[in-house]
Amino acid sequence: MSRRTRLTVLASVLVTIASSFGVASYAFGSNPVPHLRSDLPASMLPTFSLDQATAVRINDLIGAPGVQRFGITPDSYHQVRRLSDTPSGPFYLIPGSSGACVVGPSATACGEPGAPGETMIALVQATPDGVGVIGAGISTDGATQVSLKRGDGSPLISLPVEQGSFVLNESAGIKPPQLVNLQFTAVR
Amino acid sequence: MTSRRVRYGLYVAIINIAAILVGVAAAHPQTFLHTSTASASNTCTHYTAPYFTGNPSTQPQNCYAFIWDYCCYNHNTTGFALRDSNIASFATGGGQNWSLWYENNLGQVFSPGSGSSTYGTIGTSGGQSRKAFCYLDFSGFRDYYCTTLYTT
Repeated sequence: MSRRTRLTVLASVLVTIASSFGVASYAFGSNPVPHLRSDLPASMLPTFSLDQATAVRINDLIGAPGVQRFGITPDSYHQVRRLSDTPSGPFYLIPGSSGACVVGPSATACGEPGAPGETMIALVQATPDGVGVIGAGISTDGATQVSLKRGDGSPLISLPVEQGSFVLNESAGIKPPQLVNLQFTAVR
Repeated sequence: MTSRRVRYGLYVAIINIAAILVGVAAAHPQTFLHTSTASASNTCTHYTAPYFTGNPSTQPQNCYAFIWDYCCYNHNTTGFALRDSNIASFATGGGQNWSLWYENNLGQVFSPGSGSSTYGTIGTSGGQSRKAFCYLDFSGFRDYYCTTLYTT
């Protein structure tokens, strides 16, 4: 193989590596920024920052698989929306670069609201004393209420959607055993 | 001469394909480092959900899905773990309604949470976990079910 040929092959390989690196970096989004989709009315809620200790606790609660999957980064905790304040603690909305998480006092629910088939993120949980149930969530644009049904399809309660978010207060009287097989439906 | 050129072209093509892989790997190493912990099988091997033992924080637990006849429908639908901090987590393939519960200190079934999302976690106080299971029902005829037996 002549020297010219070797140089041609080497140049070809280097150009291929460089171009595939560039294309792959763009495709995989090497520097994703947390944000909420514009078609989520909850994106208009005021944002604030959480202190580092709270951010770490929430990050642990979401767990490494969720953090990675939904693109939760330190920047996420500077774009927090408050969905509800309850005696047991607040419910936050934490944006990621590829989804978002609703975080309650001891539970989280993450998803990609607005993606096909995903009309909401809903989370309800038992209160720490195990007596009551509290919850909150967000829905995509156009939803006026969120209906909670039992496993057999019978209605349990309907929650109004305001600014793209909804809240289940303990005063609604839902009890932890009723959480089993709960079904959430966005009503337009 | 033509055959030599064809061989030469083939070599260059192979080298360039390798170069593409090198470039992609440099840009996104997770693509090549990803490992799956979910088990997969096309045969029906379980008629009751199996228990998993061991520390789930270092040993991921898998869930199994069943239909009415309790024959395995799909083996790689959810992941489930009960970690040292007594946080349970699981993930589903789509935005489904889910609920999760387990036995409390008194052996009573306790429902700590429910939701509609593709991923959820539940953390509880107490520090001990016992038998836990998650369950999803999103079409009226398909059940997802898994169990974990772990004591700190």
